[in-house]
Amino acid sequence: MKDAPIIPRRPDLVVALLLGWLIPGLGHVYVGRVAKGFFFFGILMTTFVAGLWLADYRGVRWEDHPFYFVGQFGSGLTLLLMTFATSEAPRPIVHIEWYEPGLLYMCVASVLNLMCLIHLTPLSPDGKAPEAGLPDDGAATPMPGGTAS
Amino acid sequence: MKGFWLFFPICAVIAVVFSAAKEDRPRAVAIGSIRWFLLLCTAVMVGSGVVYAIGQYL
Repeated sequence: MKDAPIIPRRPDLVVALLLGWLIPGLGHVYVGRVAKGFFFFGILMTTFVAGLWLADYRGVRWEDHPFYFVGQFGSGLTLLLMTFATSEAPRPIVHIEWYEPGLLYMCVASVLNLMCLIHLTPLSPDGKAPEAGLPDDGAATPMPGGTAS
Repeated sequence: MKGFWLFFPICAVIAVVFSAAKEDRPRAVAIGSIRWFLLLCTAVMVGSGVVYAIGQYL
């Protein structure tokens, strides 16, 4: 009796987007682009933490900066950190002039994560609908936007 | 303006992420990063100059 052909398991785009939103780079890791995923995680989280430090670990409210407030929703991890690692209570201010650049850094890190997520989808400029995904052994296969890592 | 230099590291981050999202080979990522960085820095400087000039007339 002939064995049935092994059908490669296609990574679910919704799961990839959800994982990528929760933790920057995890969506890329899920679709097999491990190196790129870790690269995005490193650079985006470094930028975000730098922004936290520049802003003196102070949060942002809708009334003060609506744009930066919305910007923190670009990633689940950044939203979590902005919610729990910051405080609205008065803190010793070291560099008050760096508060807004700090907010800009955090906002840019979140928005860049959204851009990385778009790159996982067929909406990316060089992207195509995913034809194949991860085989069962976990080896990487090409995804939209380039070759697998 | 104090803190203006902080725009340049964020331009570098944006340039690297843009380039890494599009390219796969490290050399192509590096070249693309430099091109994006120069473009963004030029845009920031020209844009801030325009905003400053407009502010002088308002």
